[in-house]
Amino acid sequence: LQMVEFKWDEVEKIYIVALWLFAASISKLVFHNKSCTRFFPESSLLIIVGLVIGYFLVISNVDHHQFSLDWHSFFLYLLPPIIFDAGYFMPNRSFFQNWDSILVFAVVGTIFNTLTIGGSLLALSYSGLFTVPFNACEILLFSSLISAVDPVAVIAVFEEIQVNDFIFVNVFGEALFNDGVTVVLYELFKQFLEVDRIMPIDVAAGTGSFFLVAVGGLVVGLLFAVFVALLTKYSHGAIVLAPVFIFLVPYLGYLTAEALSLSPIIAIAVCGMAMKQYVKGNVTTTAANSVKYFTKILAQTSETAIFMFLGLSTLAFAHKWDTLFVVATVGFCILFRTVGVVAQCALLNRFRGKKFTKVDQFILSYGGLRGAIAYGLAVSMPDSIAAKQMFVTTTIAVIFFTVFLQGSTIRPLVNYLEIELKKDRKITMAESVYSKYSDYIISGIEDIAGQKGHSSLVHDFERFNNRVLCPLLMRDHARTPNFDATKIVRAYAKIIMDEALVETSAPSRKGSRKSGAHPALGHCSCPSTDNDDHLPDCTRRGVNMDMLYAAFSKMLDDKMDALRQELKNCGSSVGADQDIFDDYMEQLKHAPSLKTLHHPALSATRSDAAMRHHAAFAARSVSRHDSRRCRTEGGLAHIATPAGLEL
Amino acid sequence: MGNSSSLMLRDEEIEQISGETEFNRNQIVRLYSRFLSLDKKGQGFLEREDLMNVPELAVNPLGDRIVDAFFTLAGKDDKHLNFRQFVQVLAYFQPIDKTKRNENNDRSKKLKFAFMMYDLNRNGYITREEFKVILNSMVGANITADQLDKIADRTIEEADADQDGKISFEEFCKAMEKTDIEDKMSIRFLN
Repeated sequence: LQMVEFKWDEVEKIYIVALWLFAASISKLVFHNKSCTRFFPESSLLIIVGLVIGYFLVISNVDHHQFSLDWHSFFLYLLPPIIFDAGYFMPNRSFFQNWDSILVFAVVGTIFNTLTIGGSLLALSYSGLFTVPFNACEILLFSSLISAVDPVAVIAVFEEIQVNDFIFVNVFGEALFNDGVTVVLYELFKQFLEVDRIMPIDVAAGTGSFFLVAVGGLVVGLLFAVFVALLTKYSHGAIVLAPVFIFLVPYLGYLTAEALSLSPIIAIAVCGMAMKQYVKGNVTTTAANSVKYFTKILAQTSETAIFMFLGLSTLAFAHKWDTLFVVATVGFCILFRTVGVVAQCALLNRFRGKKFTKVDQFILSYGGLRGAIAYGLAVSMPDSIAAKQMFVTTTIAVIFFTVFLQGSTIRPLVNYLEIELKKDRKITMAESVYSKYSDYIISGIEDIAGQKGHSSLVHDFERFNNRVLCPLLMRDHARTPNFDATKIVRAYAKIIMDEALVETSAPSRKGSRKSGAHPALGHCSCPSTDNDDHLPDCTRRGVNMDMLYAAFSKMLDDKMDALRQELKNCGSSVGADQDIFDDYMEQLKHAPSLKTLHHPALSATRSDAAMRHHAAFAARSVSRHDSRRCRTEGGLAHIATPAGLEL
Repeated sequence: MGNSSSLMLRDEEIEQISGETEFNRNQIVRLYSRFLSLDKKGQGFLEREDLMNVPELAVNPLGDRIVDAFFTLAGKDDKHLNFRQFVQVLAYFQPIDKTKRNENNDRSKKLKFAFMMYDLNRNGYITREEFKVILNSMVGANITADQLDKIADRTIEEADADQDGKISFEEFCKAMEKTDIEDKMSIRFLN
C-alpha cells in the first residue's frame, strides 16, 4: 500500500492551466515595473510571453492540441467576463453624448469594412495569385472577423497614452459594439456557406436577422439588468448573495441570448451598463468593491489567457503562410479603415455639434486594433473551408501587426501630432456649477423653440430615471427632486482638497507670494504685498504669511491624519476604492502619467491621490446612502475652512 | 390663426429676420408656427405665462429663470415678446460657425444669456446673495445650508477678480474662458 502517490494524471490539465495563468500574471507583474510598457502595450508583452511558453512546449514535444483554443472555451468562458467588464466600467455619460457616432462607426463602419476588404480580396483572388482558392462566402466570412476592432486591445493601448475623453469613448464604444455586428455577420456568412445558392431573399433575411439579433440582444440585456437590480434590492437579508447575483445574472443573460441566437455580446454589455447605477445603490460598499475587484480579476484573467493562447498557437498551429495574402489583407485593412473613418466623420460632422478634427480622424483610424476576438472567430471557422489555415495565419499576422506596430507607434505619433491630451488643469467651481446647468438651459430653450434635441432627451431620461426607475429598482430611494446635486458638492470637495494638498506639499514659493496671488485667499490688488501695507479692506492686512502657511500646514497634517484614521476605521474596504475606479474614464484620469511625476507630493504617496478620492467619496455621504458608509463630511468641512482664515 | 401661418408673415419680414439672425427661411417659418402655437390667446405677442405654460419648462428647475432671461434679453419692454424678438433671442443659441466673422461676439452672447440667469435684479452684477438664491432653488434639498454657503462663496471668490464681492459680466466671461461654451450652449435648429 502506498502512502504517497504521484497523482499527476488527475490534476494534469488543470494544473497546467493554473501554471499558465500564474506564469502570465508573474510576467505581467514584471512588465509593470519596467519601462517597457512605455514602448510596448501590455497585450503585446503577453503575446511574447505566450510565444516563449509555446516555444518551450514545442521543444518538449508536448501535444499542442491540448492547448489550442476551441470555440466553446473561448466564447462561453473567456469572452463574457471581458465584455461584462467593459460594459460595467463604461463611462455612461460620455457614451450617451456620443452614441450617434459610436453606433455609426460600429454598424456602418464594420459593414463597410467587411464588404470592401472582402470584395478587394475576392477581386485579387481572381488573378490567381493566392495559393489557396476560396469563394465569395468564405472570404466574406474572413473579412467580417478581420474588420472587428478589439476592445481589449484598445483599452490596453489607449490607457497608456491618455488621449482625451472624446476620442477614447468613440474608439472604445465602437470596439465594444462592433463585436455584436461582427458576430452577426460572421454567423450570417457561416450559414450562407451551407446553402448552395444564395437568393436575394436570403440576403434580405440576413439583413433582417441583423436587426433582430442586435435589438434582441439589447432587450435581453435590459431585461436581465432589471432582474438583477430587483434581486439586489430584495436580497438585503443575505448580503453575501448580492455579488453572486451580480455576476450570475448577466452571465445567464449572455447564455440566454446565445441560446436564442441573439447577440450575447451586446446583451451582456448592455446589462453591465444598465445595471450599474441601481446595483450600486442597493449593495453595501464592501459588496460593490468586491464586485469591482472580481470583475476586473475575471476580465484580466481571460484577457491574459487569450493573449497567451494567441502567442502559443502561433507556434503550435500548422501555418499556411501566403505572403501576398497577408500583405494584401493588412494593406486593405488599413486602407479601408482610413477611408471608412474619413467618410463617416464627414457624414457625422454635418449633424454634430462637436466635430471630428483631422487629427481625431487619424487617431480613430490608426487606433483600430485587432485582437483576440478576431482570433477566436478565426479558429472556430468550419474546418470544411479549404483556406482555413491561411485565414488563421493571416489573422494572427494582422493581430501581431496591429498590436505590435500600431500599438507601439501610436504613442509617439500622439505626441508628435500634439493631440490634446487629458487636460490637467483644475476645474474651477464656476465651471462645475455651470456645466451641470447648461444642460438644463439648453433643454429649456429647446422646449421653448419646440425642438426635441439631444439635451431634452437626456433630461427626459434623467427625470424618468429619478421618478420611476430608481424607486423601483433601488432600495431606500426617496423620490428626489429632478436632479442630483451631489456632483457639485463633490466637485467642491475635490477642489478644496486638491488645493490643500498642493499648498501643504509645495516647497515655499517665494515668487508666488510676492505676486500676491494665492488661490485660496483670492487675488489681492493692493499696491505692495508687505504685511502692513495692505489696504484697509484687504484681508491680508497685518497677517504674517509665513506663519500662516506654517499653521495651515500643521493643521492640515493633523486633519489629514485624523481623516486617514477615520477612513481606516471604517474598514479596509473603503481604502480599496483607490485601486479600481468607477469607470474607464476615471481610470484614465488617475493612471500614472509623466505629468504627475513633477509634483512630488501628488506622486510620492498613492495615499494622497487616495485622499482626494476619499474626499470626493466622502462627500457622497451627504446624500441618503446607507449608514454603513463613513460619515466624514464633518472632517471635510473642517479642512475646508480652517480657523483663522475666515474670508 | 390656424394653419395658414405663412400668410401672416410677410416675405420681407422673413428676409429681414434672416439677415439679422442668420436663420434660413425654413427655420424662420418653423419658428413662426411655434410662436403661434405658444401664443394661445392670439395676441400677436407672447407673455411670461405663455412661455411658462410649456409643460416641460414647468419641470425644468431653471424654468422660470430661463423665461426671465428670455424676456430681459428681448428688449426694453420686458412684458411682451413679439416674433422678431423671439427669434433674436433664439439666435443666441445658434452653433458658432468658426469660419465666419464675429466668433467672439457670438460667444459673448451665449455667455450673456447664462449671466442673465444668475443676475436676478438685472443690475449687471451677480452678488453672493443672488448666487445663493439660485443655488438654493436648484440644489437646496440635497445639501446643508452650510455647504451651500461655502460653495457659493467659493464660486464668487474664484471669479471675482476685483474683489468687490460681486461678479460683473467681464469677470464672468473670464471665468468661463476655458469652458467649451460653443458646444454646450448651441442648438441645431431644424429646417
